[in-house]
Amino acid sequence: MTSPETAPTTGPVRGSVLIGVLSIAAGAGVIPYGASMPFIREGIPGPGLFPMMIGGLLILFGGLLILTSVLGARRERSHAARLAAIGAPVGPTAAPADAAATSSEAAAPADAAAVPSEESEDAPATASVLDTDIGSDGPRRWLNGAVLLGSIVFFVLAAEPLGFPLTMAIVVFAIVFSLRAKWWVALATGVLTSFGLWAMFELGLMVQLPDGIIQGF
Amino acid sequence: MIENFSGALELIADPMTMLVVVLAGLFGLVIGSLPGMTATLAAALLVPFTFFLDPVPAIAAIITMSAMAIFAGDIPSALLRIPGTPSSAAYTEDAYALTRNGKGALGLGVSLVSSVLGGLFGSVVLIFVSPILGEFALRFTSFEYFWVAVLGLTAAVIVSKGAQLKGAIALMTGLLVSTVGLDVTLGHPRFTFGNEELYRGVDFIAAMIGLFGLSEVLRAVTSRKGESLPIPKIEGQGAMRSTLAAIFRHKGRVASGSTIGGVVGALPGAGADIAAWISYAFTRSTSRKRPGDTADDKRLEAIAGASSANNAGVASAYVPTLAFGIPGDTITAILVGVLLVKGITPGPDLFLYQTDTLYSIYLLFIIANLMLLPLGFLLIRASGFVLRIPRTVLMGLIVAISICGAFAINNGYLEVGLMVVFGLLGYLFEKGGIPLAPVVLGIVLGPIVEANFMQSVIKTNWDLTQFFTRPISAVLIVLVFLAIAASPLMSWLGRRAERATALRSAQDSVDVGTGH
Repeated sequence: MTSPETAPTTGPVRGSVLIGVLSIAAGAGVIPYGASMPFIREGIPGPGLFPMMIGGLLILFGGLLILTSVLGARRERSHAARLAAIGAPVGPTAAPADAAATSSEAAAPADAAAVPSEESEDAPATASVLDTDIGSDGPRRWLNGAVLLGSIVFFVLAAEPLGFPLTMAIVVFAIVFSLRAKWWVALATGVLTSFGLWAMFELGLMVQLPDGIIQGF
Repeated sequence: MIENFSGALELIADPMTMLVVVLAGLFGLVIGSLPGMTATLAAALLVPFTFFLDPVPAIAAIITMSAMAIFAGDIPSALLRIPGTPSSAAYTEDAYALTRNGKGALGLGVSLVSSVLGGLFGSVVLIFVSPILGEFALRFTSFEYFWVAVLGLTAAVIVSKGAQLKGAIALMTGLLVSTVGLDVTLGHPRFTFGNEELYRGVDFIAAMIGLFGLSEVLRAVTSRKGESLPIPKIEGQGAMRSTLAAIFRHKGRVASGSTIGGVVGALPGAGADIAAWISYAFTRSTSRKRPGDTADDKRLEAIAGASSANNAGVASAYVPTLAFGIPGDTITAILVGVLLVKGITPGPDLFLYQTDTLYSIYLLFIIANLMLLPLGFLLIRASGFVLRIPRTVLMGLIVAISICGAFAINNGYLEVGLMVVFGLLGYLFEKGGIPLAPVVLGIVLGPIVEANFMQSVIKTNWDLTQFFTRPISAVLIVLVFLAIAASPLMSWLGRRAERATALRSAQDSVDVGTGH
């Protein structure tokens, strides 16, 4: 279910092979590390036994994954050829399967937007336009990801000197703003989230959050 | 049994518990109704809060939340044609078609009432089946527990339908993570890289928040640009009576759906979404043409069948969890993690020593499903508002809650760092099509497998035959092999149902097109 039928077959195969190789590499790294751990008695392994077993299984499963994905791709190609020969309408029928695979946000919305216009007399009045879309194109996507991870690193570094409320407000502001929200929306979200969580954890759940420069709570 | 229930009632009647139940329920409804936000994400975000609660309210929060979130997943199906959770995927097309025909409120109403009925049926299955299995589990020793945990791990791989090998790799990753820290036999530090803070191991909750919370946000913010969607309006008034009429008309479907959900959900690794697909296919393929039926009636019938199945599956998935301590899916895995933190070992001990807790779990399922009825109708009315919560704000909120949750575990920054590491790991795994559920199960069950294995071999001086010759062990081994054999069968059934559905819906759309 993870790979929709319509996807080109070479991409997933390469991905699977890469996963297999990484898995084998991890296993190969873990086994000697496990073997270097002390034994309970002569010939009876202790702490290292489980890591070594896991390492062995990682190598096994990685190898099997490479094997099956290469063989599977061959089968898939012949299946696709047969399907094309029949001329089955793959497009619309694949939609529910796609949606289940959770990877189809791009495909489903386009269909959904197109469908209501077909039966205009039945279609309910559109209430408003939804801004569910926070995606972006080009390098902006990776910038957003970097802002997200960077802001958490910033929290780890700055929470002690600056204190929780200020740091968290900055973190949330940065993330929301990077997703093209209006600056005042981002600011309001940051401040409200920060104080809401501060109240909930510090006052409600009695967790000692770092105070930093804002003292006296 | 009666006195057990009254003891449990006292535990639940506590105002704190009731407050937690209502808040967690609302939380589940909101998260479940947002497309792309799964019930597992909601559970991961909930975990840090349960940390500060007593065991019963903590369990209550997760149970109520998951029951609500599975129903709430139907709402974006009907309004946006995007299933809110994978369990709703089976009948998304039907629900959306009903909305297009101006019967959105009716469709959601039918789905709500059949969810409630299915959930109640699943709870009954849970109440009557789990004690039987629990009694069987009372005779377990470390050998049997080893096999039970292996069974759980096998189930973890089965959960990953269609990608069993990737599931196995994910499981090994989880097991490897579980070995971090001091080992059980000699107290030797493993994979700590000289960091003394890691001696206590990788915290389960931090891993959970990273894998399901942060990775989801990371995926969302780095997604490509799509198109904005118009939300159709739902007329909420006056749907109650027609809903009940429709449910009465399709009562047979609700019954068969609940039964399918109750049975399939209880199988380790099958879960609510497979239950929904199977029941959907069953309903569609056995549907008879009655005079005066429209395409919409057929859709309602299918929704009644599948929607009762997924909620029944949610409850019956707790059968193996409670009896053996084997989580059936990610949400039950999270619950097991929470229970272990609270000092409650799920499994046969629950039936002997902690009957109050056990019976409160039973009662909570019933309460959660009953509460779903009024809250669900409210949500159907308010669905437009919920879906209009800006995504940008939501992302900021989720990150903030994740950081706080990770920090609060030990009042330390190590867990926040671990959360980032697991967030990246979850993101990369998702990209590579590696399922995340086995990682969780590996982290939860890893220490149990290892401790029971080491205990067994040290006890018998490495007499490995003991693992195979003890009678109960032998039964469990057979179960492990059955589970391994059942996995291709299950995924085959699920895939078959999906394919049949695709064909049917294509046929239906042709029918509708010509009929109008």
